[in-house]
Amino acid sequence: MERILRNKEIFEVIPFDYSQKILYFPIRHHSPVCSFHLLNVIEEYKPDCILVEGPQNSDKLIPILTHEDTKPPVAFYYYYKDTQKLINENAEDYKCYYPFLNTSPEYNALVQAARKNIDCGFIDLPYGEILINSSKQSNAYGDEHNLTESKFFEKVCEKTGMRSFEEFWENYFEIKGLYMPTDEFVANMMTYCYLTRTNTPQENIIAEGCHVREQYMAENILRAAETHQRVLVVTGGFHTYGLHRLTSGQDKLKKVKVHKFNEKVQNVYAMIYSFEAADALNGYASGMQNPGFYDKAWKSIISGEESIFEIYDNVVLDILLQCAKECAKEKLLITMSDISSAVTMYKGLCSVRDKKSPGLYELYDSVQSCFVKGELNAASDLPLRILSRIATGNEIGELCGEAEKIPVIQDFEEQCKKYRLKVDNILEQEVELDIFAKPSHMEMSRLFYRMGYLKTEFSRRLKGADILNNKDRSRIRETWEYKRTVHTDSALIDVSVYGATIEEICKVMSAHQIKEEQKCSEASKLYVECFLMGIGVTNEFAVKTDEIIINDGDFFSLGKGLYYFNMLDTLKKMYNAEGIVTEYFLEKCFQKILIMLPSMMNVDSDHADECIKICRIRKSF
Amino acid sequence: MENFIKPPVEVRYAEELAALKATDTGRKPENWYLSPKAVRTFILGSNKGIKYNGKVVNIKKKFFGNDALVERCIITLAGSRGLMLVGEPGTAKTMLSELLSAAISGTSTNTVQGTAGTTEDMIKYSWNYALLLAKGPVKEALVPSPLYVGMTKGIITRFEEITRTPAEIQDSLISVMSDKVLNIPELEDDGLVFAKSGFNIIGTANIRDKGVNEMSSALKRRFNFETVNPVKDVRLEKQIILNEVEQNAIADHIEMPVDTDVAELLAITYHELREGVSESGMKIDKPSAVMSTAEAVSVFYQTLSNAWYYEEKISLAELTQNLNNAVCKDTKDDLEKLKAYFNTVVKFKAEKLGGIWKEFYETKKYLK
Repeated sequence: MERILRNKEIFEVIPFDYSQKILYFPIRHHSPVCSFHLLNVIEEYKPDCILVEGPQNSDKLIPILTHEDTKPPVAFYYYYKDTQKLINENAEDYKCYYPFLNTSPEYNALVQAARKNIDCGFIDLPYGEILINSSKQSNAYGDEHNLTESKFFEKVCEKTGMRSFEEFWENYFEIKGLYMPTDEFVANMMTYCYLTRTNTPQENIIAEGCHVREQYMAENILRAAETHQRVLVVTGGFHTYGLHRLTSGQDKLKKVKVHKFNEKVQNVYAMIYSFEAADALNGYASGMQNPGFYDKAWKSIISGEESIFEIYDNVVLDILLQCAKECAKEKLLITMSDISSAVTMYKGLCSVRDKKSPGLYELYDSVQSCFVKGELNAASDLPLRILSRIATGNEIGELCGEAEKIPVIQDFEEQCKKYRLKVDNILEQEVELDIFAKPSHMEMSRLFYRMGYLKTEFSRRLKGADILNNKDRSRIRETWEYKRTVHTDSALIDVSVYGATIEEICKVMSAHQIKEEQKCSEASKLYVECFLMGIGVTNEFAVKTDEIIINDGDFFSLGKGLYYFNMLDTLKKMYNAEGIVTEYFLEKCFQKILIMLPSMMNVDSDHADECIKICRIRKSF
Repeated sequence: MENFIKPPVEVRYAEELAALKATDTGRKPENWYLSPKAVRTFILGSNKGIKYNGKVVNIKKKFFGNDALVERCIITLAGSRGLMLVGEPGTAKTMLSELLSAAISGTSTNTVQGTAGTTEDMIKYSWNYALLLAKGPVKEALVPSPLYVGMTKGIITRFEEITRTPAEIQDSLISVMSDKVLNIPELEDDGLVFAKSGFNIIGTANIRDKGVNEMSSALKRRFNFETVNPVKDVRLEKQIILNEVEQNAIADHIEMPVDTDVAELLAITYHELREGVSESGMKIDKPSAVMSTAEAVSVFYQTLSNAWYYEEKISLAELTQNLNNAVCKDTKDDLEKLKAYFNTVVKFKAEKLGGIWKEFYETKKYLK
C-alpha cells in the first residue's frame, strides 16, 4: 500500500510545484490532515488568489463565513425552484447544504484568505445549474461517494484488512499524514484521487454533471490566472485531475452557459449547522464519521500546545475517559480496571496494526472489548452508543451579527430565549407544561404546535391530551421533547416567504390550506390545529369552512366535522379561546347530518359502527 | 496425524507455525510462542509466502469475516484479562480459540469442556487417591487439571462452553483470574501456585442454547468479551464451506473434487434462511434451528461423503435430504418453513436463473 501511495511519479501527471502559476491542492472535505497541509502550502506558496470549490452564487457569504464571530459548524443552505422546468417536468423545489466545520480545508482556505487579504472566491456552477446539468441529485454539496465508495478502494480495504474506507483513510491519511512532509502527503492524495478518478466509469462522471462543472471551474481558474501570479485551487480531489487537464490544454475547454435566476428562484443563506448533521453516519454523503472526534484533534493541532505525534493519543484517551464518565451517569459501572484494560487494548492494537497513533477505530475497539460485558447486542451496546454520541459531538455553530437575519428564524430564537428553551446544542430536551395553570406554558404549547405544523421536526408531544385523536383528554399537563436541528432552520427558511413570524406564517399557511380542502373532516381538523396553535381564523377562513360544509355530501366526513366542532365547543373555555366560532359550524354540520340520516338506513356493516358513533355525538349535545 | 480423526491445530499447521517462528522478528510477550503480529498472520493469513527449510510456506487464512475481532482477541490475551468468545452456535468460536491457543502457546489441547456435571477438580486439580492414602497430601499425589497446567507452564487454558457449567463452579475462576494464584490448602506451605507469564484463559459460550447458566458479574469483569457473529458475506461463507470441506476430505482420504457451485448454492440457502430475507428482498420465515456455517459445512460434507462412497457425483437430492435433516431437528414448524422457502425463493430462482437452482427446486419432494 505504501508503495502505491508514495509514488512520486504522480507529479508527472499532476504537477505540484511552488513555482507554478496555478497550483492544485486536492482535498477531502472536512479532513483535518488536508487542512493541516493546506495551511503549510499557503505559507510556502504565498498565493495571491485562492479559489475554492463551491457554488459561485455563494460568494456573497464569504465575509460572513470568515468573520471572527462566526463559529463552525455552519452551512450554506441553497435552494432552487425549478419553475421553468429545466430539470424535468415536475417543477420541484430543490435544496442542499454545504457545511463548513473547523476541520474543513475550504473553510480554512477562506479564513486564511481573509486574514492575509488574499483574493478568493468560489468557482463552481451555481446550485441551480449543477442540478440542471446532472441526472443525480444529492442533498449535500460536494457529495464524495466517488472517493469513498469506489470499487478500487473496496479491493484495497480487503487487501489491507481494513473494515471500511473510513478506517483506511484514517490510518493512511489522517494519522500517517501528520507525520509526513507536505509534498509527500500531497503526492499520496493525488495518487489516491487519480486512481479513484481513472477507476470511475465515465457514465457516472457524466451523470453527476462533473464534466460541465469542471469546464466551468476551469474557465474561472484560467480567468483568475490572467490577473494573478499565484493561484491556489482547493477542490475535492476527485476533480483535480480533470481540472488540470482542462487548464493545461490537454482537454478542450468549452464555455458553459448559465441561466440568470432571480432570488425567488435560486438563493443561498448562511445558517448554523451541527456536528450531528455533518456526521457521515447520519447520511451526510461528504462527511467524515464522528466529526467531533476529528474536531478535537484539529483543535489540538492548531493550538500547537502538544506535539503532533501525541495528538491522537491524547484525544483517544480524553474521549475514553469521557465515555466512562457518561456511562457512570447512565448507571453503567465502568471501573478503573476497565479503563486501564481499554488503554492497553488500543495501544496493543496500534502495535499489531502498525499504526503510529491510535485513532477512532482503536477507540471503538477498546470500548467494545473492555466496556461491554457480555454478548454485544441492542441491550448491551450502551457504551458504544455513548461513545458514538461523544465522538460525533453535540455542538451547533454560531453566525456573526452581520449574517442576514431571516425574520422567522430571528422570531424563533427570540421565542426560545423568552421561554428559556435550550437550543444551543443538539441534545434532546424535555419540558413539562402546566398549560391551564400558567399562561406562559400555554404559549409554549402553542409554539410547539406551530413548529409541528410547519414540519420543522423541532418538537414532539410525549404526553398530554391528544385532541385530534381523542386520547387522554383528561390530562391537564403536557410533556414535550424538543431539539433544534439543521432541519428546523431549513424548514423555517423554506416557509419564510409566508411571513416574518412563526404565528404569521402559520396563519397564512392555514389560510392557504383551507382553500385546498374539500372535505368537512379535513377542514374541521385544520380548525382544531389552528385552535391548538392559538391562531385565530380569518373571515375568509370561516367563509370557506362554511362553503365546505355546504358542499360536502359525505355523511362520515360531516360526522367527523361534528365531532371536532363539538369538542372545540367544549374545550374553548378551558383553553381561553372563547372567541373561536364553533356553535355555528356545529349547527351546520348537525343540520346536514339530520338531512342525510334517513339515507344511512342501508349503510353496510363495515360502516355501521361509525354511523352509530356519529349519532351518539348528535345525542350528546 | 494420519490416524487422528481431528488432529489438533498445532499438528495440522505445524509447518506454518514453524515457519512463522523461524522468521518472527516481532516483540513477544514473555513465554509466547509467536509475537502478536505473527499470531495475527497465522490466523488471518498472508499474501507473502515464507521461505523456510528450502521451500516457500504459504500462510492460509483460517478465520474469516472479522479481522479486527482477531486482533482484539490477541491483545486481550497479552493482557491481564481473560478472553470470552460468545455467540450463536456454529460461528467458529472453538476454532478461533484453538487457533489462538496454538499460535500463542504452541498447544491447543489444554482444555476444560464445560458441562452440567463439570466440577472444580476437573478445572483445577484432583488427587490420585491411592497415593494420597499412601503418602498423604503431597505434590506427587496431585493430578493437575488444565487450569493448574496452564498456570504452571505459562500456557493458554481453554474453557469450552463455560456457561454450561454451574454458576458456582464458574466462579471458582474468579480468584485465579484476579490474583493469578491457585491455593491448594492440602499442601499447606507448598500450596500456592503462581501463574507463569503466558498463562491466560479463553472461554467460549453459546448464548442461545438451552441449559446455559448466566455468568456472574464478578466473573464477567475478569474477561474481555468478543461476540463472534455469523458471517454476513455470502462469498465468505462459501469460501469457508469450501475450505473446511476440503480439509475434512483430505483427512478422510476422500478424493472427490468439491463442487464450488453446490457450495455457493448451499451458502446462499443458509444465508437467506438465517437472515430471513432472500437476495431479491423476499421475506422468509426463519427456522428456529441453528443455521450456522458449521451446519452448512456438515451438510455439504455429508453429501460429499455420500457421493464418494455410493454415487459417482454430488447429488442435489442427497443435499436436500441432508438439509432437511439438519434444519428440521426440533419442531415440525421448521419443515413447513423450509418447504415455504422452496416454494417461494427457490422456485423464483429456478424460473429466473435455471441451472442448478432449477435442479435444486426439483428436489423439494424430499422435504418430509
